[in-house]
Amino acid sequence: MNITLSKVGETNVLQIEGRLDTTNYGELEHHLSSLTNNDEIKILLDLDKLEYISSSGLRILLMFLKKIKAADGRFMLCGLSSDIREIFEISGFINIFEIFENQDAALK
Amino acid sequence: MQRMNKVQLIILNDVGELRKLHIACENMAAEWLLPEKISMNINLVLEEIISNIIFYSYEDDLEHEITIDFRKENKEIIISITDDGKAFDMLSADVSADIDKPAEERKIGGLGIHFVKTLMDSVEYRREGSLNILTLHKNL
Repeated sequence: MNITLSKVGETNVLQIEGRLDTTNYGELEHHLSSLTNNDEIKILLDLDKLEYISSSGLRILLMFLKKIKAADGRFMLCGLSSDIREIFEISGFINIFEIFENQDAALK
Repeated sequence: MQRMNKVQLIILNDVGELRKLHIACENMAAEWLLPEKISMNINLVLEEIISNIIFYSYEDDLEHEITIDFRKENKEIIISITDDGKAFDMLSADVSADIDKPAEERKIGGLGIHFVKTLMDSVEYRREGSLNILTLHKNL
């Protein structure tokens, strides 16, 4: 997995490429912890290049969604492929996250 | 050339071994010409089952083998996972994934078993002596 960070206005954009699973979810957790510990609570995860996600990855997303919501921030997702979207639907995550088509739509 | 319709993968009870699972699923998809979605779902379900075994099944710190047998029939893929951990039937485990609850009320966990039950067409568990054997069926 590769994670690329950028900032657009007040929003921290994390582009995730490859696989997010039990072997590497700690890397994403580390990046999200660094941001939220510095009160950076407006975050967009761009999943356009995400090929695979397992429950370990979803757990990290839920953990930070709760943390960021509690701090009155925003945790948004965009760029879900149809296969990844199906995993979000089965897990019910489709209803609890703010999900956009792409970065432009999320950052508007 | 005759295609093989059976493949066996043995992995150890170490999280790093899950990478072998990913490679095996990719090879299986290529060999058996499986749609990408089916191979991804099989990979996902196996990751959930095997990480569960690695994290919760063993009561010692010794090395254990987990055997995964893949078989392709005409219209389905059948996968058996055999481990020598403590008896555990995930099908009767009282785990709910709270999938309809809002974020604030959702527990962080329980999703793995939910994926296994949802993404496979059928799942059977049996205990044979000291072995857990879980058999998954995925229709093609």
